[in-house]
Amino acid sequence: MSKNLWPDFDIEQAPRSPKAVIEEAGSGLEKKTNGVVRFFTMSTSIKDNEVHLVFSLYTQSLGYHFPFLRVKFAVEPVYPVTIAADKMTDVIVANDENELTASLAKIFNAPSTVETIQRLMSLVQQ
Amino acid sequence: MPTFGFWNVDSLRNLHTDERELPRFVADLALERSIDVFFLIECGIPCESLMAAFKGGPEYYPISCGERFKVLARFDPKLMQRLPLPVPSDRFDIWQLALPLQEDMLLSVVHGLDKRNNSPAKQELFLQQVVAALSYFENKVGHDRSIVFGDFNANPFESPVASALGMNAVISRAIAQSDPRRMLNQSYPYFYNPMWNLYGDEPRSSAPATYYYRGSDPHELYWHMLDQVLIRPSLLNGFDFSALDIVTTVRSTELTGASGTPDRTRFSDHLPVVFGVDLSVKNDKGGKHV
Repeated sequence: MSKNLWPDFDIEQAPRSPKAVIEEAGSGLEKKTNGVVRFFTMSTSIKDNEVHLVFSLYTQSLGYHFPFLRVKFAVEPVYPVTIAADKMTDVIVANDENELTASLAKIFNAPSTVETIQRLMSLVQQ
Repeated sequence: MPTFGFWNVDSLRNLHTDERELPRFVADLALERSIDVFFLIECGIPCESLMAAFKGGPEYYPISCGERFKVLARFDPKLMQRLPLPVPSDRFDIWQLALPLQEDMLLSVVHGLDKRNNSPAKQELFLQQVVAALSYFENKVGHDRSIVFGDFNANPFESPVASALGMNAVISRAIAQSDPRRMLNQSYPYFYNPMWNLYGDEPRSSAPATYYYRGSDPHELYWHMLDQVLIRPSLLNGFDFSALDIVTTVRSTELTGASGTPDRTRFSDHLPVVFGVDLSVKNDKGGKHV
């Protein structure tokens, strides 16, 4: 058989999973902290058709993970995504990728988050 | 064998109008039960008022702690070092207790996030932070002789306490002493939760749990075991199960009202808990996971 019956695939067209969105958004932390603090996927689990993720702020030199975000979304459809973040009073709900990115920006820039990361950086310097 | 006690005295609010005689009952309870270290949770009572209530009895000393707590000990405060949390929190504290001629241990007191204002995910995230900080210090000191106790604001069977993504505290000694749970290449060491043994009507001299709430849910538990003691397996051999007790009486005064539920008007909506640990026991599983 000479003709390939399969169509062409464009991976760029596939919707990104919330996990990939969050990991990409968090990955810039290492650069911003000169490699001292990393945004780390601490655990992934699936329960009752829901994906549960925990992300930490990880300082390798201390060997310390600070559990920072709890994220939950359905296997299909993946939105809405709910986020419980350290020191944020409400659970945040994001209904699409744009909202998820905006929510992460809000969490990352919260004064309490900045304070936590600065605290971890200063601990490493001690 | 050191004896420990803790009590959520619910006194952070309305301190100026609070007419309860808590300092006297705290002192009476500490003296009657020979408590060596007494942790008060949600305690806004000034240390001076608490210390004054011990007048005439054996000397107690205030131990350094966060604002939400008060800690009194019957020994030199230098023997109980408060450890600086990597990321500070006003909801838990960790100390290293090093009594002469005894094995040292880590103690952590917790006031978990309440259910009314926080989702289980938020409650779990907080308790994961407690476990992460404790594990950090266990690695630093080189052993896992640790006990976490306090008001977790969750029952022993609820995910913040029982889940591997929370405290990972289990009902069975055999499970707690087995290899840590592994999920997706991550290791989750266990705590043993002895409070399961006290949940229910027997013995009749005690209460069914530590906190009573009559809600409107069709599935209503009424009694909740929010106040718990969670032990790392390495301390199990030294844990005195006969000393673990939910306190309902202090010097013949009932801490419960006519219905048998905690008398929040005179005392607190929580009942105190006491427990003892023999630190001279050499445990064969000490430091296993660190």
